[in-house]
Amino acid sequence: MNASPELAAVPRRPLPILTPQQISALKPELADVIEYRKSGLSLNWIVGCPIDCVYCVRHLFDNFEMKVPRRLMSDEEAVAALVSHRYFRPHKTPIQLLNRATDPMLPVVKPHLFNVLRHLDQQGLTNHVLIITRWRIAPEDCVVLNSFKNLRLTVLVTHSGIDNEKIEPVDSNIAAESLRTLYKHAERYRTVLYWRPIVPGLNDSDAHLARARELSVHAHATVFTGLFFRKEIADYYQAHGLSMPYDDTARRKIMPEVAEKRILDYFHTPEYTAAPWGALFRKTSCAVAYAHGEADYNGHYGIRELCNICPEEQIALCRSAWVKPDLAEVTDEARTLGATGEVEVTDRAIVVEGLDEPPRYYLQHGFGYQCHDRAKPHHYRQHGRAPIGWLAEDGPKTA
Amino acid sequence: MVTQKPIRIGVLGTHSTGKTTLLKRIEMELRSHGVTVARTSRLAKRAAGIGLPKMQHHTAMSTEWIVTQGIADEIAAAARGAEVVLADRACLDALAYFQAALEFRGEHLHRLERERLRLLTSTQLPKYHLLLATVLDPDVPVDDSHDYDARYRLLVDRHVHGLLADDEIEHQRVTSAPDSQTRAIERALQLCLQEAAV
Repeated sequence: MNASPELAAVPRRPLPILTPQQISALKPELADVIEYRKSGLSLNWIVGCPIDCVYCVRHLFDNFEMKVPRRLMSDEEAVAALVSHRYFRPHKTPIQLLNRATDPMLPVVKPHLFNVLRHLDQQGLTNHVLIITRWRIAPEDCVVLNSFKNLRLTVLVTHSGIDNEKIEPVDSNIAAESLRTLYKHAERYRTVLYWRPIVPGLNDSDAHLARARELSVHAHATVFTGLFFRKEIADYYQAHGLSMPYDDTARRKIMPEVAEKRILDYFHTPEYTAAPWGALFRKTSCAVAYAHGEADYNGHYGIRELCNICPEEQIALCRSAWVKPDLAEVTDEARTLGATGEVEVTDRAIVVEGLDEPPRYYLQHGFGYQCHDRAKPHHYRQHGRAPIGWLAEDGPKTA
Repeated sequence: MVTQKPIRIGVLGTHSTGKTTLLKRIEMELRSHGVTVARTSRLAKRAAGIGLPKMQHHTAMSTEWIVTQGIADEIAAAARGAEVVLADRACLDALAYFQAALEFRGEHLHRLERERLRLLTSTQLPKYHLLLATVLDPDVPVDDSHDYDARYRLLVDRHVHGLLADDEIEHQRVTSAPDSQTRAIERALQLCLQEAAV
């Protein structure tokens, strides 16, 4: 359902800003508007969402019951907080806007998203900006998204095809229509089909796969990924009598080997020798980079088995951009950030100890080279994934 | 119709015609516009939970409980500050269920008792800014997790729309057709957003 012209004419109220007392009642992690995640420095100055996908990460912030979006600060304050953040580097640090606690394209949120984009663009910043949505996008939104002159903007549209309303009450057709609209009108921005969460038995039937392939035609690239299933989310499933997708929970996303194989087999077209899997990617940043004709900014090329489905041209691009950094330089930066123990630079990644995710991502994005915690190794062929649904397999020594 | 806030939208209709789904969709859309919404729910289940009969076994007592509890739920939602209250089973709905139960059982109710219940529900009608009445579509399969009596379900549908017609109560019919659902959602949004903008 798209907004009728009469509806569009109704004046909108600006989104209220929570009082300091209300903000202090939130979980501190939620009240902290900036979080460094793998795909970028994430700015979340608006919280609350009515879409109610039961697997939402808002469970981790005790925020699932907040259904109406509210601001934590003004748009201008949010921009200032981002660009003055200790880990923000102009033109380099990838940025994510509103990807944690609301949907950026909700009608009451959208004007604030556009306002922040406008401020960032006016500063001449060319950083990647990622926006993830599953809500409606109209052609007039595309006009705004095309209007930014400097930012490298990507709109990722989440589409799962899950038709169980108890798991995902929002109609998947909304996202499908948004993707088509975005792709049709794309000039300066790029759009990615964010095919997730894929859960075996729930949304990986042949019909689901066919639907995803049909939709992938309307995107500059497609990423497929699994379910993020932490204890807080599992507890909600249990309390609401929903059938559990997995017996165990995990720190990383779950994407079983069998499900991945089914997807890869379905997308494989051997006669397209230069890109047998088309523009299908395992990693968000790989898809974003491909959509903009650039090398991956996360240095995934070091984890070579991730690239075995990538288009030849993209592999060449990533290969040429991927440079093993100098150990002394890395060690110096890592120590400044607080690293303890030995700092290593292997053929796959920088390996550190004593650094949380934010400084690791700072190093990773700075050097364009993976940065791993020695205590949380990535296993061969399971990069960024939980061990659930994978049998151990011998591979190169990893970290 | 009264003009004071909150805005009240009620839905009524026989079971398994998408009442709750429709209200959940309206709720999601309103919240996406930043409107605070409260939705009343599970009246029949709660009535059964305290030992009252349900469906074709409804009595004057179970009907009165559902009507008055519905009133109390709507007041409680308003007191908590909701800008819009969505009533899942506007009060007239309970009367239709009861009348259908009586017809199903071939019973008649004393005139005074009938008038009393009718008066009770009619005092509430002016509170609703919009009434949405779902229409039974015989081609849509029923939720098979419930053991519904098909004849009773049909009778409820007839009584819901009969009561609305008899008293010429303004309402919007909502069929199972996607267009009809969309029109209902748009009307609710239009009403609430215009009021909210004032």
